[in-house]
Amino acid sequence: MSFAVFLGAVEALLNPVTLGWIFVGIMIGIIVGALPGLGPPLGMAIILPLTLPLQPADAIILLIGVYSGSMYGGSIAAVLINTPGVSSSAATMFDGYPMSKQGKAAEALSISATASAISGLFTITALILFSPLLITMVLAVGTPERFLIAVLGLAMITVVTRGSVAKGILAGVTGLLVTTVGSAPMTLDRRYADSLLLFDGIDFVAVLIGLFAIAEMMKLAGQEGGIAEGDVVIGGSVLEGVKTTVRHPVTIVKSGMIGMIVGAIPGAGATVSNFVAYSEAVRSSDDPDSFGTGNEMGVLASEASNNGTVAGSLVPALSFGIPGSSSTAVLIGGLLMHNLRPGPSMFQADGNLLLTYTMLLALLAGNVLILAFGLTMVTKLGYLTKIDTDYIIPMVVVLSFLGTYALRVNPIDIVTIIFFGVIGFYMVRYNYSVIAFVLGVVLGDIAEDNLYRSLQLSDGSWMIFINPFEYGRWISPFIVLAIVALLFGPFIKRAISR
Amino acid sequence: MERRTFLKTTGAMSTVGIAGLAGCTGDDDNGEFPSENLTWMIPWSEGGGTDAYARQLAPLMEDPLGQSVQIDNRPGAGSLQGSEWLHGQDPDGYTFGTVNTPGWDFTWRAQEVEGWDVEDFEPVSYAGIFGYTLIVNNQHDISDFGELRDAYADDEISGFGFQGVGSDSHLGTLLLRENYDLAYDTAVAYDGGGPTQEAVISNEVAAGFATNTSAVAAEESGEATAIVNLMDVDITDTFPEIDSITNYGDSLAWITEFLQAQIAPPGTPEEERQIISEAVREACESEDSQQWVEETGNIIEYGTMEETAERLDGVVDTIESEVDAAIGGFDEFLRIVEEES
Repeated sequence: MSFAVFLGAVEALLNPVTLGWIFVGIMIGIIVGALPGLGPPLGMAIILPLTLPLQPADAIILLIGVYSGSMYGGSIAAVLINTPGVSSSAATMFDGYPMSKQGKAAEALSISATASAISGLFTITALILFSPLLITMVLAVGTPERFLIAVLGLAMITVVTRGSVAKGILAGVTGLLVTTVGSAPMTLDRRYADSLLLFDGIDFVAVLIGLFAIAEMMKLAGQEGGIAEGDVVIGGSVLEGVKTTVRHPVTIVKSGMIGMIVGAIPGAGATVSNFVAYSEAVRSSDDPDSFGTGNEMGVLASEASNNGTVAGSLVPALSFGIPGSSSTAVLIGGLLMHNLRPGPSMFQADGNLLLTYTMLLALLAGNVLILAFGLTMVTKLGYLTKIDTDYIIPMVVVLSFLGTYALRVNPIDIVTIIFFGVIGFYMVRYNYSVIAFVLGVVLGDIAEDNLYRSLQLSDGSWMIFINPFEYGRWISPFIVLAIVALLFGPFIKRAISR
Repeated sequence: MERRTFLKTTGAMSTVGIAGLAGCTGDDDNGEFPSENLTWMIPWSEGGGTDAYARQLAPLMEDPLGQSVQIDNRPGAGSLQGSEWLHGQDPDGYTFGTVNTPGWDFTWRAQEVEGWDVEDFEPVSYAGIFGYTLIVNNQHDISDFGELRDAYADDEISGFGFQGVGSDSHLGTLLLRENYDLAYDTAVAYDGGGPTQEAVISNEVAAGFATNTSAVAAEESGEATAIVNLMDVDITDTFPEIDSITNYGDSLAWITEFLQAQIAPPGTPEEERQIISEAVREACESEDSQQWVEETGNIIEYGTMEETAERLDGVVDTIESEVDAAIGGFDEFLRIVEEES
C-alpha cells in the first residue's frame, strides 16, 4: 500500500462534489435494491450514459455507490415483505421476515444496516491492505474450484435443514431439477424447452419471489391484521439492533470474509456468498434450530456477506477486467467509457492506484451513509408491517409481478412465480425445507456447468478435484476436505463423544 | 326528441367521437414521424457490448429525431427471444432493434427456429463492427498464429476456449482445427466472452476466443495478448503487432466479423426507417461518439439502409454454403458438436 497515494485519495474524497456523488449513488442504489426485480445492473446501466459529463472518478464513484447501496437496499423488501429486493438478499428473508412478524422489523432493519456498513468497512479496508493476495487468489480459482464451492453449498443442505433430513434432501434435489430446465449449458440438448421462453431456463429470482413473497401472501390472506402477527407491538428498538450486531464481531468478520472471497470468484457472486454465510452461521450456532424463526444472526450473516461481496467482486473487475457479474460488467463499461482500462495498473502506484483508492474510500464513506440512513430513516418503515393485509397483499402481489416481469421481460417468469408460490405455500405447510430447495435452485447451474467443464479440462478424469500434483490445482483438495468435514463431521463427532 | 334536436345531438356526438378517434391514433402532428418516443430493443442484457453501443448512441439520436429513444433490453436464447418479440411488433417505425449479424443468423439457423425468418425484418442501418480475435496467455510467449499452431502440435500448451456450445465461436474453433491446422488437445466451452477471457488470463486454457473489445481488457490485464485477428477489418490501430488469420488461409469473416445492424419489424415503411437511419448516422458521426471510440476501442461505422440490406441479404445461405464446404454441412457441424460435447 502506497501511503502517499492513499493520502492523495483522502484529499480527493473530501471534495464536496465527490461526496455529493457518493450520496446520490447510495440513495439510488437503496431504492433500486429495495424494488424487487430492479437489480443493480439495471440501475447502473441506466445511469451509465448520464455519467459521461462527470469526472472519471466521480462517474465510477456514482456507479459503485449504486452497486453498494442496492446490496443493502435489497434487505428492506426481504425483511418487510418477504421478497428479495435483489437475489443477494434472499437469505435475509429467512430470519428477517419472521422478525417482522414478531414486531421486530425495526430491529431487523437496524441489524441489516449495521451489519452491511460494518462488513463493508471491514472488507474494503481488507481490500486496500491485501489486494495483491486477492489478485493471486482470483487466478488460482478456476472451473474445478467453482464446482467444488457449489457442492460445498449443496452440502450445507444438511446443516440448514431442520426436522426430517430426508425431506431436506428431497427438497434440495427438486431444486436442482428445476435448474435442468432450458438449454443444457454444455451440450446442444434443450430440456423441456420447445418454446424460446424456456430456452434460458427458469429464472431463480422468479422462483425466490414465488416461494417467498407469493406463498407468504397466500398465507396472509387467511390472516387478520398486518404482517406483524396478532397484537404484537411494533417495538424492536433500533439501538438493540446495533447492539446485537456489534456484540457479534466474529460473525460479521466471518460473513464479510465469505462474501469477499466468494465475491472475488467470477461467476459465483453475492447470491452464493449470501447462502454460504447464512449456512455457516447456522452451522456454528449453539442454537441452530432457532434459525428460520427470527434469529438475528441469520439477518446479520446474510447482510454482512452481501456487502462484503462488493469489495471482493472489484478485484477481478479492476485487476483483470473480468466481469464476474452483470453489475461488474456495467462497471467495467463505465471504466472504459471514461478511458480507464482495468488491469494491474489499477493497483500500481504509478498507474491508477489513486483512482482505485479514491473509489474504495468512497465506498467506505458510502457505508457510513448506509449506516446513518439505515438507522434513522429505513427503520421507520417497520410500521409497514402493521398495515392491514387487505392493503399489503395487493401491493406486494403487484410489486412482485411487475418486478418479476422486469427481470428479463419474459412472460414465463409470471407463470414461475405463481407456480412456485403454490409450491412454497405447501412446502411450508408440510415442513419441507424451503432453504434446501433454494440452495438447489441457486447452485444447480453453477455445479452442472463447472462439473462438465472440469471433466473436459481433465479429459474425463475426476482426479482434477483431488490430485494437485497432476493438475496443479492446489485449492481444490482443501475444498474437498471441507465438504467431507461438513457431511461426515457431525457423525464423527457423535461417534467420538460416545 | 324533435328530429332537429336529434340530428344536432348525434352530429355533435359524431364530431366529438371522430375527434376522439383521431386522438387515439396519435395523429395530432399532421402525420410527422416521429411524434412519440421510440423503443430500441436490445436482445442482450444491460452491460454487454451491444447494450453499450445502444446506450452511447440513443441519447445522441434524440436531437435529430426530436423524440427520446428508450432502450428495451430483452435478453434470452442467444438474442432470439428479443428478435421474436420484435418480429411481432407494430410496423409503425416506433420500435426497432439491434442484431449482430451473422452471429444472429447463425444462432437462428442452429436452433432451427420456426415461426419467423431472419429475412422477414426490414433493414434500417448498421452502427458498428466487432468480431473475434484469439488471445493467448503470456506465460507461453507466443506472438503469432504460426507459433500457436506449433505449440499445440508439439504439446507445449493445453486447452482452447470458446464461447458457448454450438455457437459461432464453436464453429470457428472447429474450422481452425480443420482448415488452419490448429491441433489443440481439448476445446472447452465457456459461458460467454468474460469467462473465456478469464480462463485464458488464469491459464486454465492456453488460448481462446475474445472479441476485439474484450481483447483490449485482456491485454491490459498484463496476463494475455491478442495475437490473431480473425476478422477482415483492420484493427492494427488498437493491436499494432496482431497477426491475421488470412495469412494462413481463407478469410473467416463470414463467421467471425459482426455488424451491429438495426432492423425493424416486417412491413415497417421505408420512410420511417430512413428517418431512424439518418438519426443513427448523426449519432455515429457526432464528436461524442468519436471520443467514445477512442476511449473504448470499439469500432463505430455507419451503414445506410441500402448497405445494411445488402449485408443482411442471404446471410443464412452464405453460412450454409461455407459450412458445407468446410465441414460437410450444418447437420455435420451439429453431429460433431454432439459427439465432442
